[in-house]
Amino acid sequence: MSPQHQSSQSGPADHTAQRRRDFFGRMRDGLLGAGLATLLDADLLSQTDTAANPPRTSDLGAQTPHFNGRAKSVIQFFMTGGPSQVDLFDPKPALNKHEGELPQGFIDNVESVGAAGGLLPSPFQFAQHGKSGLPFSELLPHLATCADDIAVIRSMWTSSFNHETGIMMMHSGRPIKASPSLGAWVTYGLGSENQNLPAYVALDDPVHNPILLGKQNWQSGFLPPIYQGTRLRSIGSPLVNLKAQQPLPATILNFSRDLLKRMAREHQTRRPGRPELAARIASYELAARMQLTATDAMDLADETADTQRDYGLDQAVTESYGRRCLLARRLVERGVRIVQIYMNTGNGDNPWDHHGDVEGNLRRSCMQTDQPVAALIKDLKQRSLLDSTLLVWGGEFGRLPLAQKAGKPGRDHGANGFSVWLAGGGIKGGTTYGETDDFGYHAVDNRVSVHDFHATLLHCLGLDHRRLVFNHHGLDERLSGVEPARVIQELLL
Amino acid sequence: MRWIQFFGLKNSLYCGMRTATVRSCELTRYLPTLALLLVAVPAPGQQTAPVADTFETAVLPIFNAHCADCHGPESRSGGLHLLTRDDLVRGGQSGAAIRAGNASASMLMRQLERGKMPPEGPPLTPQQLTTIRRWIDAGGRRSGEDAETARQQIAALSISEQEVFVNVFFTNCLDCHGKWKQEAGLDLRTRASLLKGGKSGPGIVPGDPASSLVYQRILADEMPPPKNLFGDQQYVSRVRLQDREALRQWIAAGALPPHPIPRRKDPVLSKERLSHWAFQPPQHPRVPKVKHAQQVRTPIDAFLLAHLEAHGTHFSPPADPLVLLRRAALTLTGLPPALKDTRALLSQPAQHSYETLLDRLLTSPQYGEHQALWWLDGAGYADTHGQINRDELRPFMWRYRDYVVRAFNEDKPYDQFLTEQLAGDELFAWKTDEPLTAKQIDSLVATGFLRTASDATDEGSFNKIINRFGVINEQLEIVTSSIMGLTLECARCHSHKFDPIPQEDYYRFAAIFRPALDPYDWRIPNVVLYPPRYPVPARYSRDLFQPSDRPTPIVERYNAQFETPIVALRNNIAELQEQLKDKALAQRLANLPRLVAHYRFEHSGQEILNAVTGLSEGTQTARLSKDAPRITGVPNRTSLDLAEGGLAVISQRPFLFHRGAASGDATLEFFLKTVSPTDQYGSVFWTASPDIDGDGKPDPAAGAGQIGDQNRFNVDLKTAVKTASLSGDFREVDGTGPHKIIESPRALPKATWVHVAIVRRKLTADSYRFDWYFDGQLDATQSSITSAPFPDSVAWTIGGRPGFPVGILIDEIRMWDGALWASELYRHGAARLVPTTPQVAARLLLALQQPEGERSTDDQRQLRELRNQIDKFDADASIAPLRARIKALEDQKIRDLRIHGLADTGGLPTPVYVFKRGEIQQPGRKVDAGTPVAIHLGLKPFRVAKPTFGQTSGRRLALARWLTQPNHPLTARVIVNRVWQQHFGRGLVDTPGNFGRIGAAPSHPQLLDWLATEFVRNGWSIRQLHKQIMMSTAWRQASQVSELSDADPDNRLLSRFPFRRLTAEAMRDSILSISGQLDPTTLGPPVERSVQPNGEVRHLPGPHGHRRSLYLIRRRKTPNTMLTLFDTPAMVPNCLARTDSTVPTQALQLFNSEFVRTAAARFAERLRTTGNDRDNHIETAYRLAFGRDPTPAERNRDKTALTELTSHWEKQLKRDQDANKHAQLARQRALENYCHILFNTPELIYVD
Repeated sequence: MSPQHQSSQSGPADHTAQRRRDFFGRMRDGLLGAGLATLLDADLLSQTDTAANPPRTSDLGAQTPHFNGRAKSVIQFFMTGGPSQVDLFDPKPALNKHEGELPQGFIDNVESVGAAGGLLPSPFQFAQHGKSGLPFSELLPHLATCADDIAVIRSMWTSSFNHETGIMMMHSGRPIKASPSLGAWVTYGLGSENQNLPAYVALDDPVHNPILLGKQNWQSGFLPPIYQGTRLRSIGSPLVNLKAQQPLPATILNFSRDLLKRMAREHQTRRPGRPELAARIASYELAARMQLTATDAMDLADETADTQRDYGLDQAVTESYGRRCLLARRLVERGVRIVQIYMNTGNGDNPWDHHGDVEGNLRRSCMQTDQPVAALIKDLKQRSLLDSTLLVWGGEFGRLPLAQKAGKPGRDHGANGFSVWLAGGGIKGGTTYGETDDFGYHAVDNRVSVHDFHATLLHCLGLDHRRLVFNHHGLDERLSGVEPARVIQELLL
Repeated sequence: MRWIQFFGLKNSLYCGMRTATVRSCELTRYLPTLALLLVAVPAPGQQTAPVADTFETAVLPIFNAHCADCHGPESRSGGLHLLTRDDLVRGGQSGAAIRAGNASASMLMRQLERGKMPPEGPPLTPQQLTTIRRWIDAGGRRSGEDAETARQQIAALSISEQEVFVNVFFTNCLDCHGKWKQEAGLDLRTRASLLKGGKSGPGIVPGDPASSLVYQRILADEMPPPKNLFGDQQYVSRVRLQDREALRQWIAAGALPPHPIPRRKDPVLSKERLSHWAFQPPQHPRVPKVKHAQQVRTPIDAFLLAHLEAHGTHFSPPADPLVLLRRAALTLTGLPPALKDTRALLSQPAQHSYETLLDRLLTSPQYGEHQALWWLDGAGYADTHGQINRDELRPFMWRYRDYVVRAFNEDKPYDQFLTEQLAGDELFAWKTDEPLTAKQIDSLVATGFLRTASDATDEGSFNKIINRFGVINEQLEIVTSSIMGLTLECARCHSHKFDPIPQEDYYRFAAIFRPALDPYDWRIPNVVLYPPRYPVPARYSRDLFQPSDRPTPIVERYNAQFETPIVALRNNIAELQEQLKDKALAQRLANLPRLVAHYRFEHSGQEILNAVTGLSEGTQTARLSKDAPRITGVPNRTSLDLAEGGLAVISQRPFLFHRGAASGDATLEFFLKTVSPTDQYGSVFWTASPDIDGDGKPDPAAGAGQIGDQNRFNVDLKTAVKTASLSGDFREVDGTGPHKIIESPRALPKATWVHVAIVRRKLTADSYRFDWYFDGQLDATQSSITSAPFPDSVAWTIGGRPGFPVGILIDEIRMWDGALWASELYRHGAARLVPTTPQVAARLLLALQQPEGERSTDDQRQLRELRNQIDKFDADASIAPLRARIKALEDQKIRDLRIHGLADTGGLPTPVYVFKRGEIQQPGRKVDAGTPVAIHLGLKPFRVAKPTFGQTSGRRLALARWLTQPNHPLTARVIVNRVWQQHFGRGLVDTPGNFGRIGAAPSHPQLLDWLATEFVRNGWSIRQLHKQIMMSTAWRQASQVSELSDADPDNRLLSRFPFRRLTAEAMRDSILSISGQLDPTTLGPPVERSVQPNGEVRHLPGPHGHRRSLYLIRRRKTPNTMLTLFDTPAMVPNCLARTDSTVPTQALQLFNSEFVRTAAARFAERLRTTGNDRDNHIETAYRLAFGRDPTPAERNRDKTALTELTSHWEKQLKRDQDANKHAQLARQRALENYCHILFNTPELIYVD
């Protein structure tokens, strides 16, 4: 159990408090639902209990962070496949000079050795933007207008250059399956601000092929299952069984709910000192509210035409991703703790996995996402939400500066050095951190490991990665692993 | 320019499946240049190192002052001591402490400079750090050594033999030079065999890398052979640059054997740690005397009461008999009490015996089912392998589940239960004993326990050595946590931080399993041996095949469910065929296949004259390529001799299986004769991009590509064979890549002309069937369905591939743009039969349109003959989908029974090394199989005795024998604790998977020991244990919170029975049972899941209703939505204590899901069978759902509610419909609503 979740054992001698402790004690991991503890304290327990020290438990109710972090919520743009750093954020003019050369030392880290070509210069022009002069390639014209809000980390490295383990690593800090994802840890640490929505939401495109690894991207692993992400579908019914397939007529529905509540209350009355029964009853009410709230949160109809246009909902190429970006804002506004936006393509490929024709394919992926992402940054800023919302953009790794031979050249996976960016949530905009070598192959200065990266994200949220621990089979597990990880202070405001 | 050549950049390893951490990339290790640059420039004012610095003069004094407490000869913390320079090089658990000439890459330096060492006391001063750094960078000399000698000595010590063998040979070479094969006579498993070498001479020459064959072949990238870097052996890779370098250094330094590392007692084996209660054998305690003696029914009560009384309280009053009935039924069977039991208790409470009830429940088949659930949680049971992408089925895993169910129902003694699961295959010679008895089969099935870990090594990119270790680690964790209550896993990377478990213990324990779970001799999941498609050696399969095990009644019952739909489909087809016959016949007669090409190979004397007779349409000319085939005169035949690799290009615009054929059907006929009796196999037709112009390169104009391109089309024929056993084995061979090979189903006779016809019939838009005829006879075994696209038009050639001659003569090739009937094919010495000509066809067509009686006898006979053929083939276009459905159903049947279990792979296993820091590339000391050293008190030591029947190592059997000793400190305690947990929600030890020092202390240590020792005394009977617990007052008390609870607020002392929620499975099963939908079938293959359009994963009912949750397939990636919502755990890797959550999505599931809605409707139906009386409905509903009668108040409330609901529905129905059965329907709807509400009430899912 995390330090902030340690329960106060010194209860008053009062009956109710003791029984309640019985309940919380037995709930090994305190698995109460969204805001149930809060609600119980407010509505039910306070009627009989005036104790000054209500027992604490880990649940989905809002938790106190370890310290004050600026960020209250996270939106992660997960770019599955591995975007090419030297074509987007990390200009490498030296590639032009050495075009076609193949440094021997690069070979051990190339997945398809046979297809490895020489150094391939970026086909795209870079220019500096904003007051900070942050360079972006021509593929990101919209994002470039937000240059002064963005901090690019150019020296990320990861341990795996294969998609599955890379994705697991980036999500959970381990290259192994069944590990809790960042979102699960954040939800475990901070709970939810909204009782009627899931605390941790994953948005992918329900129309297209499933994304690589599917729901493992937002799993809770060995953390209790309430911390796992909920996939909300951006079209159609957002949640399984949010509504019945054949809804009951309203009068009958209301009558049924009332009768159920009466039965439940009587059952509870016959069993005094059982807070779990109060929690169960509360969960019925929350479910009913969730039905409305979740539907409402996912309904874009009350967004203005201008807003919809900003996000690119009027164009086929940006519509799908734009819709999810806009939904992410609506969810964050409603207190959802973390939203992950995934991209999937119609053809089953990983959207950023450009082994061939990096010029054409990367352009297409950027076109689908650039405008919506930039619109989200501006929208959050305009609503004064950017400072409390941490934006995270990046894939599971980057790409090699080498050409991959096959028709129009692409680029193979590169894990030794790649770029990600952060914005909002206490991040110092208009900055870059770390450097790769002259070819963008390998991070050389201020290298940032995935654990450093996670530690920094947690820090922005007011969580100390060393203290956010969960005891699993007798071991204190943490997102940032056993070896020391570093919060990158240089990125923080 | 700042550019550093990185080589061998290390992929960081992770330290564990659970303790996993990715270590920061040791950049500096790979940046020697950079590192040297950084340190070689002395800071201003800094002195250059005096050359005279040696370990003894400069470094040892610092160590003696600051480090000797922990790293002296006695303490040796982390396995490291710092007395000599060589100690530093040999290092400890974390590997070498220094690297020659490179302080920045030395672990010692990093630990010191980061201030991590010394952990206490003042850090070293900057001067001291500089001294050590300079000493390392200058070469790390000892007194009396020069720098060069020091470097060599350090290099020789740094590269260990283990490292070379593990990283170079084990990882990449053993498939061809190991246990199973020694290609070129070379075995790379041991130092001796390496030195001995193979056919080409010694593998290495110590001291001389340049003359060392093995090294040179690796250096030249000849080994491992590049072709092995792909395909099934993806884990084989080029030997990394750093490993090549290590190999070179090791050889150069003389290929030294491992340096002896002195064995010392690990400091974690301290007296204090060893005295932990869980490592002491349990003693049978005296039963304490208590004040409330009237509450003592069994000694269990006395132990509990002693604690309660010490806190000034005692047990609660007894629970109501109805409560006890429901509690007992749900606890033991996971189902609510049967209606008749509830009725009996209500009507004649006096005649009700609690003990009889328990006995009945404990011997019901549902007891074993519910108990199995708990055991399978601990065993990490799932029906699929992986969790990465594919998540493939473990098709026979359910047999292990059934084994567990049966074991509980038979009350198999726990020691035997464990022995079978750990070593069932080592109990008898299962490979040779025949036939096996049911008991023997059972004990093989039991080893499924050791095959439960998730495993993605059937996905190529996850079949790396490290992934294999991952699977093994997970499996070991399952074994140790569920049976031994230990977290041995920690010791994988370092000696245990809390328990007396040295790092070696982990590896010694792993070595017990190594003969069966050898990462360097791995069997990937799901290699299918039966039916044979490819000649797969049995050693690659994980399944223990049992030829004597025929389908059991379970399987027959299971298969029977598919029969009804199959019969229906067959009838459907027959009907359809009958309807289609005349239509198809007419169509066929109207569209006779046309002969589109006819090749005869003419000759004139010894010269090639002309190979082709073209037909009227088109210019079907063919040319023979330059040097190729000779025409050889053969009696009666003039033919193309392809024996020497001749290649003939027949046409650029051919038509064989031409898509242009109207129906997609086509026929190819030809005569073949083998010339050489030794040839077994050959490609007869091979179309590729032809070489028309003879320049040796494919002709681009033909549009075809290279080998492997789609535009290839092969027809392979087996030719004459030495043995006669080849026919029938192979049908269609799916070539690698997109091209298709269709292969002859039978071998050709020697030196005899055979007429071969291949008829392609189009089935659907993209699938065809190929029928083969030999001398006019359909080869019944032969039909191939393929969905690969065929090229529109490719040139085709006759002959082998260049360099691959085929010993075949070919003559008289004909092609048709339709499917010929059998009667239309050429036969030896026989003319073609009807219809052959358009005239005949026209006549028959006319005859067909007349009534049967008006046809001539001859026409009638011919039509009948043709009709018969249509019956077989021509209606297929519309019938194919039906046949496909039959096939799909047939595929679901279980044909052969295999066992998904574990057995030794045979031969000598690879040695097991301790991995420094748990990294698989850092092998340290070699260890033997063994059990944790801390657990030894009063025990016979672990001793391996190789079974006399010889096929297995006996290591796991030794483990089982060691574990099941009556006074083992953990075995009995751990299981009685798990059973206790079932009853009371928490174990006496609250951490059932961890009895170590960091686990929870037992709340009632004496009770735990009493239960454990009694359990063994009672013959390890789980059933007895349950009864013992349930006969107690503690179990039979009420669950109400009362003033008695004040002294026991969290109920740790059990002053009341714990109130609790049902498990997800019991909940689902209860709903099914109450609604009368539960299929009581026990055992058998699992129920497949169905993903609903809304994303919900459900398991649909069969003809007899829904199966119990235990029998639902457990797919790791798509678990049942409802069960998951109510906390059925994911197996990561197993679960020893479930959690209860209360979240709104559970309420949504209960309130809105179709599953519960449907159950409510069925519940209502069931109630209506009792008549129309509302009182009756309510009473029966309460008895079924809650196991009690409603109170008068509830009766009234619910009656009113039903009345109101009915009137709501009447109004509603009037609005919606015009029917006049409103009253009836409204009552029905109201009752369904009511039942639905009952399913949502807390009373249903909580137990008092």
